[in-house]
Amino acid sequence: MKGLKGLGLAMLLLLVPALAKTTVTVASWGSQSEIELYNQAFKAFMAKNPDIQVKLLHIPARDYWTKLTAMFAAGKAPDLIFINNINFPAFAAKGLLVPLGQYIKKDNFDTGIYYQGILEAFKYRGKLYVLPRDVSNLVLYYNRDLFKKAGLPDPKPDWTWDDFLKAAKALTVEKNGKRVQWGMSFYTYFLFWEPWVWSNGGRFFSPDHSKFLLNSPASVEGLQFYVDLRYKHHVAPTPAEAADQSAFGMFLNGRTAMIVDGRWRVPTLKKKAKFDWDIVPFPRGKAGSIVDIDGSGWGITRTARNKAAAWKVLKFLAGPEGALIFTKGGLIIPAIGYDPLHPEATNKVLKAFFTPPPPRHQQYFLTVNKDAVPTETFERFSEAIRLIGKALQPVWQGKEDVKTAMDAVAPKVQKILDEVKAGRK
Amino acid sequence: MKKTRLWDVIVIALLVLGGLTMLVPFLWMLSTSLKEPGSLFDLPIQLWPKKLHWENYREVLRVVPFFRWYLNSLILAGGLTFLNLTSGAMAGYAFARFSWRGRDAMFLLSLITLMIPAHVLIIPLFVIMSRLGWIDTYYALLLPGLFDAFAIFLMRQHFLQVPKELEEAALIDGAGPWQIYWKVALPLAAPALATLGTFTFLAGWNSFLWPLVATNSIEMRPLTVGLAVFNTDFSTQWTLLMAGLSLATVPPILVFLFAQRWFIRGLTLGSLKG
Amino acid sequence: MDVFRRFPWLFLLPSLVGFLAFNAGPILLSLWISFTRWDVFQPLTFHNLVAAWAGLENYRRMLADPVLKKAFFNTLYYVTVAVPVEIAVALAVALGLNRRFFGVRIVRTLYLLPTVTSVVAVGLLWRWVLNPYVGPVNLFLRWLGGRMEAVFHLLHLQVPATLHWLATQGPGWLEDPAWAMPGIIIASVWAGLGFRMLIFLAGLQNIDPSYYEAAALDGANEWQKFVHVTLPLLSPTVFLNTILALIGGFQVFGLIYVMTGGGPLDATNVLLFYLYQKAFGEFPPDMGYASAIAWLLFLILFGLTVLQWKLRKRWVLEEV
Repeated sequence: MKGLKGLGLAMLLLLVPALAKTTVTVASWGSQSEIELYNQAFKAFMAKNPDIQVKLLHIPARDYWTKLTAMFAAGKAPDLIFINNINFPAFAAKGLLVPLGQYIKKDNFDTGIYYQGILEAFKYRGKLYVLPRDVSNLVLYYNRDLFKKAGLPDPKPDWTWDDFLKAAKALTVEKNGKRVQWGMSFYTYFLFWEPWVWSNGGRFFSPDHSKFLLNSPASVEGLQFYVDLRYKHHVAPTPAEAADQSAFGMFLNGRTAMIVDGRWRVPTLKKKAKFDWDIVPFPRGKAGSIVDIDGSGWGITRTARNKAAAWKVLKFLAGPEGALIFTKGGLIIPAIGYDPLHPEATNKVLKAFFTPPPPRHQQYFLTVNKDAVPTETFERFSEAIRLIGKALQPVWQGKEDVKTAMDAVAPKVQKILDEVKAGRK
Repeated sequence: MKKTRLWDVIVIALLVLGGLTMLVPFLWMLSTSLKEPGSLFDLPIQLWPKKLHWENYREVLRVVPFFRWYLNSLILAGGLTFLNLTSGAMAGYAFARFSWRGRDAMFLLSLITLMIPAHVLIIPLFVIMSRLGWIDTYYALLLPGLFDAFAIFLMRQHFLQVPKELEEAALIDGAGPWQIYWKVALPLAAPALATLGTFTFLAGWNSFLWPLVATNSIEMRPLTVGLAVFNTDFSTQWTLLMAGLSLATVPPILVFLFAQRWFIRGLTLGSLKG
Repeated sequence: MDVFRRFPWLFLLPSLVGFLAFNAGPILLSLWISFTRWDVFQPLTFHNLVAAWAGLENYRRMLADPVLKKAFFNTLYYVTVAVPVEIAVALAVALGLNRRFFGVRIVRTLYLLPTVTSVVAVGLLWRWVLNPYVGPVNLFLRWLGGRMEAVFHLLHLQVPATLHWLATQGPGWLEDPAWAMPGIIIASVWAGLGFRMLIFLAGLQNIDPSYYEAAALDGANEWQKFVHVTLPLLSPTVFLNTILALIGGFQVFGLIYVMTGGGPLDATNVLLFYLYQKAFGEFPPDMGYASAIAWLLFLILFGLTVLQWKLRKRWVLEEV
């Protein structure tokens, strides 16, 4: 009997350290190489914090929220979740994340290392909920061989819409009355045309999301300029001309000379482009060169079992050490910009970002972040942008102008905005 | 006689032609899996690559736990098939040969499960499985296959179509329902079982949404869910994805070729009787 | 007519257990959710569902939702065209393949290939096939139109406008709201053919050849054999396939997801796709509304199935 008791006690003692070890689960989407980066980061973290076990819950990107909603519904949400700024407001509005202010203050964590734009994107009603990992933005890729052939110099970083249009016209080539080469590839997804609105001084919504502004003069003019590239100036291919080729495919095959696109194109271009290419900032409009700065990062869920431990993990992943690991993977633009207070830590991250050229001017991926603004997302953005996208379909086909389309959709979007505003009170 | 012969040739030629169109996407999938990474954008469209990049296959096997996923898919599809062929066939027999009060209502009730889209059932099912503590186990993947209205329906219709004189004869000989089912009805059901087996295997092999939601760890995933790792928002790794998916077609094709033997067996048994 | 008159406990037990454990619960819950404003991020508990009770709100919203109305009619369009075509073609192919010839197993397998090929590959290829500018379908139609135009010219007749349109342009398929649904129907009938065909094939195998021999002795021709022997004996399978095709037709999804995403301008937005958008496609998800759409879909399907069930005694052999 006594022996048994002793055995029980010994087992209990064995169990105690095992129980004392906290587990933090981090939910994230990502490719196979990102999974490996996570494991690398977790290993580094656990070496320093042996009392915390970190586990990755990987979910395929397209079905991320399907899986997460099921887990929330079952009351088994992960402790940290990876989230992008587009979905963030809807999520934060439900009170599902923990505001980070108190932790930041307690640990004196310096958020000044991040680009201001992306920090703004992760604030809801003035409170910060997410520490960012990466940013995505847009630059203009151009085919240097085609520029040379057209007798054009490399575009300067402060070039304007006029310069751009002139170049695009010179780069559009006709053969036997048929266009065979165009100045610029044409995307219709909203992330790619936002800069045309913003750089012209326009906006999607008023800053407090109370008013729809895509039908305001500045917004309409900017977006119409973009549409005119296709139908008025004809320096971008129409749907019939593009036929079955994607916008990026046309650039990659030398059918178009320029494309406004993101950092994620670099690996493919490096591998496949049969021409010399480089990048340059988006041309300046009336209000400057303003592209989007969107991104993703991690937040602590309201239901996290051990929030202090979750914060420790978060601080590590989004801090300079974690950022270095993810940046070295070569897939992302780090959310950490230069910080004069912590030059050494931030410099390391920045250095890791640079890979052998092309593109020669890859610093532009970082410098454009200075003026970049996040997509104007709010609680029901995904519904609103679906309506806007639908309204623009005839515009992309050249059957309607921007003003008409945006005026037509305005009441519907305004209704959503009004409902959101009423719900906030 | 000669006219029928010619007619046969025309029919067969048309069927083969139709069948060949079915081959096209399959070949396209294979050819993409053999292309140089990132080649999806090549112009003019290459239906078959000049140089075959078999290393895509090596890469898939190297970077992801492919065999583990394959095994999971086999367990999932095989397990569901087993459940359907036992539980579904039994229930189908019951609905075809037994009569009790409320039978038709029960049958229609079972069909309801086919009419409500799985999309709205998945979260409640997840919550139930989670309460049972079965998330991320084979139980969660397999046990929902215990009841399958499609299987019951298919088997019921089959048993209705088979003449029941043999069974009645066995009944007169003093056999119980269970014996009749096993010894008389089921062997005659080979074609239907083969059809059902093929479908269930295919459905299990292709299933995506439930296994995605019901598993947490990468090791528990079936192929469909696992391979989704190559499919990210802006950069789908088509060549690897298609290499994985091409390897995934082997078991269902084998199952189908194999199942067809029972088609013919059913036919000969039927003619023996005549 | 039935062999046994009692409740077959043993035969039904596994299915009953499965139904009660994993089907009944989720179904009832989804019905309840359709009457609530339940936020998917709140735990699915009795308390939360009671607190989120919204009465008929989701159902009332459906009445005022123009997209839902459109999706409803799109679904009807799809079902009324695709289901009969699917059944007829599948039956024809099954009859053709219900014979022995060299390589028949391989030909049958070919028809099942689209089911094992990734739906993404199938969808992307169809998108290319139906590309209005360079797709093979329109290239062929334009060539055909050009030939016919030439004939008109030869005869000094005025070329009809439709013919000229065919020769120079052709249908816009997935890019044109008027042609997108036909495009989807063609692709999905093609892709689902193997499945339906196989069910028919299994049914055909059950028909005793002696019936045909008897019919042949009576001097019946092929068509008479089909109408008087095959169809009646196959009727349980036809019944099965029709109901399955209807259910499948009302729940068409995969190819729409890959090929059009419900567009252009909601021309191919069907009920299940709209439901999916509400449940998982939009953020935050609107599970209450999605569940209400699911139950609307159910009501339609259930009504049609009960109707078929009542009518079956008129045409389905062995059910009488």
